[in-house]
Amino acid sequence: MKPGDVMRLGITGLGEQEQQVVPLTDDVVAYWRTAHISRHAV
Amino acid sequence: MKLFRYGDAGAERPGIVDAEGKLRDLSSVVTDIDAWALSPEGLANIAAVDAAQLPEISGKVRYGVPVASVPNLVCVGLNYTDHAEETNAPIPKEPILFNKHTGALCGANDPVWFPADSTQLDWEVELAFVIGTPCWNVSEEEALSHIAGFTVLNDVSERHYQLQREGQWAKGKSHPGFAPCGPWIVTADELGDPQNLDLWLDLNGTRVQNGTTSRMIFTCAFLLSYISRYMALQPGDIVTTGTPQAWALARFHLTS
Repeated sequence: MKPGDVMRLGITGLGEQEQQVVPLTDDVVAYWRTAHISRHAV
Repeated sequence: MKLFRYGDAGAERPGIVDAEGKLRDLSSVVTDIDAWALSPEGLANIAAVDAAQLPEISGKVRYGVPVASVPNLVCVGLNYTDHAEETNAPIPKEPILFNKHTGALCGANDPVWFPADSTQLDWEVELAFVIGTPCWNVSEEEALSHIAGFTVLNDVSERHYQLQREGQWAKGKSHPGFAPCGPWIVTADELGDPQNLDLWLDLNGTRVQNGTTSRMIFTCAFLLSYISRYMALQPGDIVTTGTPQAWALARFHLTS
């Protein structure tokens, strides 16, 4: 896959997901640090 | 029941889908969808509530990882017969186990971040189950009683990291955002038979995976029993059960 690609997936009775592939940038890392998306925050 | 977590990343609140499909805030009942909420006592506590009387969640919702503070994310490789057939791989005699770092987990619709040096980023739709009670050396017959519920997990992988950077698979599996999970947990009593579910994945509108859990080599009950011989699973642990056909190693002409 490459940036801009979109995945849609699902399983019967369990719902659906959709994700877009986006470049990992310094801004993304800064957002991640701010949001504390880590094993202790999810 | 369908249980989820919603809100900004790192500040999610618990939620439940009511009988009409409306999203309701559950924070007056439980502090989070965590190990206690997923225990038999916790699920009974939630089930006793009339979800339709809880506050409705309005506006666009961001779903978080449906379990708070996941202790461990255990994965199974090469667990579908069609998957083995397309790679001409022998059917495994025992389940192949590996781990993803739990820091890879993210919400069902969160972006997947593309590392700058990635060359082989890849996808895999998988049925995952969430542990509700501690289990160590449990029998296959009792295994399903330890499962709180089921969810969808996209086992995103960077194959070059996984197979061509030395060592085990962890490098290719654990990048933040490589495990979109959810949108919700469907409790085991509501889902019914986990071995008769259709799975699918579209990439840019084209169907690239289409399978059924009836073609698993090792069932969820067998997997949980098997894994519990080697590690003590804890409430909140997530086990993801492998992916059907269109396996990436075949697409990239790689070998494990």
